[in-house]
Amino acid sequence: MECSEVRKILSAYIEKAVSPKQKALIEAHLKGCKRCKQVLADLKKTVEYVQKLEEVEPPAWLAQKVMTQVRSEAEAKRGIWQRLFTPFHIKIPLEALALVLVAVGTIYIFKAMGPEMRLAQAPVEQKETAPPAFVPGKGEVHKLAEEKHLSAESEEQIRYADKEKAGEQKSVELAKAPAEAAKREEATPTVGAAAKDEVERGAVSSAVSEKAVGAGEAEAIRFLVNVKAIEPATQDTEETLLKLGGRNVKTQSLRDRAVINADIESRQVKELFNQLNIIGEVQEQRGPMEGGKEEVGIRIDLEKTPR
Amino acid sequence: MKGKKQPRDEDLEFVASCQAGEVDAFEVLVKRHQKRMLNIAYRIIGNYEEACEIVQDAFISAYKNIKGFKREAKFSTWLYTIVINHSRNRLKQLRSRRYRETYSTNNPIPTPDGEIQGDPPSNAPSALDRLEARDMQQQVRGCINALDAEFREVIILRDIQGFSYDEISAMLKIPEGTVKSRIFRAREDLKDCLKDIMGDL
Repeated sequence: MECSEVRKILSAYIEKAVSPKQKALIEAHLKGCKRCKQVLADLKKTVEYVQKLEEVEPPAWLAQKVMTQVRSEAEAKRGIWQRLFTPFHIKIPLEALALVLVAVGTIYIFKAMGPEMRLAQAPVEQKETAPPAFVPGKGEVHKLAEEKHLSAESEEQIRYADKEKAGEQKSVELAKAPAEAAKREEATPTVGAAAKDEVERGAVSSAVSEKAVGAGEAEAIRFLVNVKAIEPATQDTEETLLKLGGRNVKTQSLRDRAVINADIESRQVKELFNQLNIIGEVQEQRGPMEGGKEEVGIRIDLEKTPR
Repeated sequence: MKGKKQPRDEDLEFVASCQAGEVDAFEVLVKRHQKRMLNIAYRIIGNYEEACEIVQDAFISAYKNIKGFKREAKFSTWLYTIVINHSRNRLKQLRSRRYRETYSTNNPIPTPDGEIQGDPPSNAPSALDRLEARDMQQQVRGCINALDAEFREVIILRDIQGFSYDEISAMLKIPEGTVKSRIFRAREDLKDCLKDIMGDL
């Protein structure tokens, strides 16, 4: 074996990573070659020196610093789901959110169900009366009403109509009465702003339901009339409406005001206006005064003239 | 693969915890491996502070990628691969700034008093005696630093850290044969460097 060949594999030789055959050859060569023996010794020394190199110790802050960064990294990496569950490392928010949702849902459902619940209670508070005796053409109207009342949902109203009228509240139902009427008839005998509010609301819902029932009906025409006394003025107005061929006359009476809704042919609106001016003082008028044979919804607000 | 014949990897349970999102489990791994990682980085880069920075960065990126650890190799091997790569990259940056002082007998050695010429090769046996152990270490370090990166890495992993050829092959992603030939070549160079400086070993 040549020296150059031997030197190439000396490093493998000290690692004992040579084949037995190579090992034998190397050892045979080394016996007779001082220079190669020196190279081997130097090589061994070198490895020894390298191995003797002192290790360095990591500073104490290294692991701490790493963990600080890793934790903030983990924080940033936390998925949106986890953040939803534990935004402040406390496990409540989802439950709290659920609670809020349930609460909101409950309120919403309660509000949505409200009118129906009141409707269910309506018969207890609501009094319906037959048309007053003095109303002319009462028989005719009554007949119409009875026809209508044949429908199942209206039967109840007849029963209540037969009952004694009592209390401050008076609900007059003339002519056709859709079932929804029960709802809008409702008005509590409170005074002041609350009462006004209630009537206002009844009127709105009445307008809405009327729109739904009487297809193609025009927007309601409104009159605001100041009168000396509500009771007689109401009767006069009802009379007038019936004379003018008004249908669906509905009256809501309160102590200081009354709201009368009816449908009349729009060509009669002007005459109605004139008649109302006799009954009281028309303060306000909204809607067209002229028209043809088509029916329009009328709303008349009677208000007691302030003294 | 090779992973199968490896002994049980005691890191795996902590790795699994980390992968499941338990941050604290990572601390165990950090404490277990930081010293070796630091020494690898330190030998490659030749600067203690830089090495600490590298180890930090390596741990952070290990954590970020821990879900990508597929257990084909030992966790430590995977970890050391990361620190080696970080060290290499940092070294490139530093090189471009001529940060690291290279050690060569043929080039002037910079000192605060100006440049001095390295000791010329000498056969005087007294050279080694004059060197104290601390100086000796310095010389060896210098010579290691003077090696090309690919040779320095194998010397560090084999002769300093004592990894098997197998592990080194996995860490550096080179065939085992290449690992061996590089190690032998690196030792030769190192030996020559030391002889040049000290005259005799």
